[in-house]
Amino acid sequence: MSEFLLSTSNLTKQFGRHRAVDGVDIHIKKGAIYGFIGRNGAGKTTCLRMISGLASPTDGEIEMFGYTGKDLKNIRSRVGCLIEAPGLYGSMTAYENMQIKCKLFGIKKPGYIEEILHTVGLADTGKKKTKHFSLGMKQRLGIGLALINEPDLLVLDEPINGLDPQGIAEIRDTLHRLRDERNMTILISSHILEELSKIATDYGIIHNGCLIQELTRKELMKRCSERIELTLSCPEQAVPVLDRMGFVNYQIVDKEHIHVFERLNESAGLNTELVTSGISVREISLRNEELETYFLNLTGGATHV
Amino acid sequence: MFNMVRMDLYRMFRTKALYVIWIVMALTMLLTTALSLMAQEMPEPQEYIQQETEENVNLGMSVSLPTLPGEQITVLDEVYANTTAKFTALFLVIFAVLFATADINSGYVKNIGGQVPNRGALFLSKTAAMLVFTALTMIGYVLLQALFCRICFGYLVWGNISALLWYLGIQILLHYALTLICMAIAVVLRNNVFSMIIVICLCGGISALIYGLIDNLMHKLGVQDFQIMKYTVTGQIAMVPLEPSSGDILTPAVISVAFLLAMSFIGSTVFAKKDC
Repeated sequence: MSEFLLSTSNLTKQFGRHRAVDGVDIHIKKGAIYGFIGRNGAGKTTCLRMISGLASPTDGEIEMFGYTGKDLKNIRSRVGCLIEAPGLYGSMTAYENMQIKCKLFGIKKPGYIEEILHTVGLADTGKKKTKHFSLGMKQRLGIGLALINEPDLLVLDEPINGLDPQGIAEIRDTLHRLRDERNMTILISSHILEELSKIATDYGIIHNGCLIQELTRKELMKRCSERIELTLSCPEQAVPVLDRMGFVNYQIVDKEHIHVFERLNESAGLNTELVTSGISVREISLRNEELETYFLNLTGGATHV
Repeated sequence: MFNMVRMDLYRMFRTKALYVIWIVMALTMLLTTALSLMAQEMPEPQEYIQQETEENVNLGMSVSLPTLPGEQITVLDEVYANTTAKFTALFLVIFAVLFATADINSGYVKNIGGQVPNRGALFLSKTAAMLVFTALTMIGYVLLQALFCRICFGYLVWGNISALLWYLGIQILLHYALTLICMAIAVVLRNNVFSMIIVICLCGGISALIYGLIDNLMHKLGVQDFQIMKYTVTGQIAMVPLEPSSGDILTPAVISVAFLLAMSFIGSTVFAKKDC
């Protein structure tokens, strides 16, 4: 069995001539909060719809809980989802909306609905019809609906969209609680990297239907943190020098760059040592990227936003 | 599947449109019963009895009582007149469209569509709920009709009870088949406005025009005595005689079952294949 709770292989969805999702390979470990980042129209929702079983892939495969292909139907009930705007019956109360789904799963446990409503902070809505709910309340009810039948994987598509800061904080707390208390794996999409960075443990960045990067929180923070950026023609030659000087926290990023994440005030000494060792340094600079900038650089820059 | 049916029944009985349709239907029934009393009290006797035949079928919405001059109007007469005019069918099909697309239009289907092993079963559970709705509506309609007859005429004559039960039974089956046709149309089109127009046309006079065109086409192709309405649910609703014999019931029963199976298959397949 795979080490991942969910993985996709070459997941593709085509609408006519347009490839909304193009060969996406996602890997999500059990217990992770996987932040799925992309701009509007990048293919996030289509991906999540396929994972949730609401749309069929044109090509590729999804593996969940060790099941693939037609066998996926056996574990579909273990995936709760909130895709796009919450789908609610406006003329019914929160309780009645929940009750409909409970009937589907044959859940009759007394207090079950009340407990979920309490978890998502909607315990006091009483007989208020959901058409009178605020956007935040609807989003929370959408999450509540996704929690029915205790799913092992929760798929949330832009759940913080349109929420005020307090609403965002409440959703964040709810998700943390679900992960900690119920050991739930959560796949959450957003185009607001800053917000995702506060909750996600792993990230996937999608652009124009293609997954361009998958990284852990640690890796993301490292890439965005303050560093000395060295531009050299052959970075491998600089490694003995860095080791000799006692640098341990550095990374060869590509064929021309080394990032050094420690002793940032020693850039001048480092430059001197490299030149003395016969290594030509084309550029040395102190860099510090915002998460948003990092994301924009990856997906084509701010001019495309 | 049983849980799905329970879910759809719960949803159906919490849908405001259900009660609105029942109330409007009851009020309209009261009106038509009062109007039939006025027609009965008119000085000129009715010159002929409006008895449906294969050549003279009411495919529109006009309501004509089969009661002979001087006779008391029975509940069976009223039920027959309103049913033949597709008065009850109109209310049923409007609700069928609303009910079939409610989960799609509200987006609620996204909460459940991915979590069931076979999404097509969600359509089949709706058809089961629709059977309950059709049967309740038709039975309630007959009982209310009896009450309104008593209120408007001052007397209550049921007519031939056995004929009434047979007539009601076969009409429930035909109306159920009609609601399934409408549900399938609504699920395929996923557009309430177009679906509603089509189903109202099915119950109204527009279908007669289309039937006429098809009949003419078939006659030109050399198939004489062809009448497509004999093979349609709306045609059969109008053609079941007032006091049906077992032979009269066989054809509408077979046509109903054929449409039930076909629409269940089309609806569930489309629901399963289309993305939510």
